[in-house]
Amino acid sequence: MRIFTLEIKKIIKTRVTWILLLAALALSVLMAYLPVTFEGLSYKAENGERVQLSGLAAIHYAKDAGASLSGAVTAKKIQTAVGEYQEALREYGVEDSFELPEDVYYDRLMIYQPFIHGVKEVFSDEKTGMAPGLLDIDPEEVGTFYERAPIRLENLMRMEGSRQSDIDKAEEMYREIETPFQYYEGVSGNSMDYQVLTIFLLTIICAVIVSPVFSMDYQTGADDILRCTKHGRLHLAVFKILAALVITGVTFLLCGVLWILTTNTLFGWESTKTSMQMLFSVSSLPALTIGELEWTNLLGSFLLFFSLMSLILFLSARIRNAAVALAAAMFFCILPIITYIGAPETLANWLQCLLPGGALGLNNSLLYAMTELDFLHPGGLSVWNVHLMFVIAALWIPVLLIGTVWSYCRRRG
Amino acid sequence: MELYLDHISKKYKDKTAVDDVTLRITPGVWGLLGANGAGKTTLMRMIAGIMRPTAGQVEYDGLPIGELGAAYRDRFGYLPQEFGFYPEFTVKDYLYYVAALKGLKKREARRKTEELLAQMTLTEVRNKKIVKLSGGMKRRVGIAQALLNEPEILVLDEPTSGLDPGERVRFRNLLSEFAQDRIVLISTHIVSDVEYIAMQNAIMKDGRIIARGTTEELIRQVDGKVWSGRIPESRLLEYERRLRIVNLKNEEGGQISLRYLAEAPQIEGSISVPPRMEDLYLWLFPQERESLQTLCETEG
Repeated sequence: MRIFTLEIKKIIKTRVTWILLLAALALSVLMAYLPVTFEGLSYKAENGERVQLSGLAAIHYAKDAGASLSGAVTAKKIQTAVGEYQEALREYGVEDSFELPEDVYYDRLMIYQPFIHGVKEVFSDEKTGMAPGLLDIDPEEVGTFYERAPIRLENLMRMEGSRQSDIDKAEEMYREIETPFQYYEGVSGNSMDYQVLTIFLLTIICAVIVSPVFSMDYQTGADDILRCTKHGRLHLAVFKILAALVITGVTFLLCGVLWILTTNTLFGWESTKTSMQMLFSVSSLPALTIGELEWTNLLGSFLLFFSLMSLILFLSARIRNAAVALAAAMFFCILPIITYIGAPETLANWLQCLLPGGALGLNNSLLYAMTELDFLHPGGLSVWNVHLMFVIAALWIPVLLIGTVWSYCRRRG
Repeated sequence: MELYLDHISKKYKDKTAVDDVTLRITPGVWGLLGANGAGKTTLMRMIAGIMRPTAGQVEYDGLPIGELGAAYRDRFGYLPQEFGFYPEFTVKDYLYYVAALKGLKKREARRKTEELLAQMTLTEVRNKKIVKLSGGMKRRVGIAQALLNEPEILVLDEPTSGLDPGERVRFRNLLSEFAQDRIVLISTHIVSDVEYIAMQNAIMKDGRIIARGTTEELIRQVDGKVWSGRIPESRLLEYERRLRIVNLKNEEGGQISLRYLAEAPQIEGSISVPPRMEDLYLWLFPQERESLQTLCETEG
């Protein structure tokens, strides 16, 4: 235990480490605050002049304006929203809401916008998947929104060439989602994008802290003395790993929790009760609220993060030069982003699951994977990507950590 | 208590660093002498178990050190020729850290650390970051860590490099006291480090042990080959080219006194003088004359 404490002290005492840790904390708050600055709207004041609002003021105004519509997203509310939109479009003789004057949108439609979100998706063409114009939607038919949503899921998966077993599995998951959906004004998709970015940046910071854990000792020759001591092999390797994982794990979780607390405080805790399907695709499979999604994304990414840190520790135990170990760590942080963009879809999905930390990144992130309908077929089974990446990450961690200990203990000139 | 090097070799792709070395090392101070690149450090690293021999094995009391594992390391202290410290650690932090790895209990670690800090005259800098210490002080911290667990086998690779003459003398005295019933192996190319304290010496050249024995036994090889003579200052260059000069000293009247190695006297009036370890060393490693001379001048 004393070795563990001293290892922690050794890592923490390094100036680069605590600078990075402080930077990580500051970054988490900044990344939670940035989406606030994107918020903006205008409204007509009592004196008839238009008032522009931005940031927190805009969030508070939108929350108050939409208060009467908060809560369950009933078919009736969706019908009302569609009706309001259609009326405005007809009045101005335009096809789509972006053609309307901005003032009209803010004054009449803004509060209904979240309810329109899924309508076009659910009532899209069964064969082509093309979204209908709002004026083409029959308001009466909108009342069947929740009956049509599972049909849309099936159609979409068929169009994407999914196997029947995938569709069955997806439908089984979709049945778990509570309807009617819930909606509360507040946390937006923009914010969630910034959670993805925060997680990626935290991963990079922690990779910088972890990569020299073994390699720097090799490079400076410090390990020559350590590995000649009684506990300088297995014990030391285990405690070095534990210290590195505890420091980076605590940092990751602390900063991740800080991001969630800051975001929800700024945007309003009530909005965490919003159904995930109201901010992302209606066909998203997880039965989660936005609050639950934030935690699932953080904790799920934490598992993937651990698998990536295990890989970086393994590399550190294999590479004699700290700069090369850092370069290798950065390579494996960025590799999943590149392969996700560059590889054919199925291969990209496999790599996303197979690479340690394969879903830590930007477009390849766990959050976006949770909104996708991608299934893989290990051993002929239909497994949702997200489930598979969790299983594989959990397998990587012991394999890579044992490999790290083995590499350190066996290393000789 | 015995350390046995059983036909150990270390080969790299195109170079043999250590070539079939067999040596039985018993308690006492052992000097391992050799020029830079002779294979001393490689041999030491194999004894320390941080390098695997290509052939042969190192045994401690009849058992291979690989099999003994932690039990061997528990009795072992090692100071490498070059090693890294943790720049943000203070002297005290570093010694506590190594003490923990050596399995010393907290109280024992504190006691031993304080004792060694005093012995190494490091007490005043105990709370200083190692990165801010001079080269000699860093070396003393290195020696202190090697002694923390009072090892039965102490292996020191070039322990005095960076130490000033006074520190070297103190270090030699400390080792003489410490070596009772222990194996102390000192690798060096500074002959005076081991000349008076080594019970046995082994001399390495090109990866092989070319001579071994007590200082008296070894210097017998150059008995009758060490001479002292005087030359005018103006002829120094000429003699430097011709002779293996061990050292020289300016004297009054433009004369220079030379100590040199030769089968027969080369300067008129030369007298045979009793050989020392450095004479043997220079006899075996003629290319080392320059560094040896520099060292002798430094030590006065």
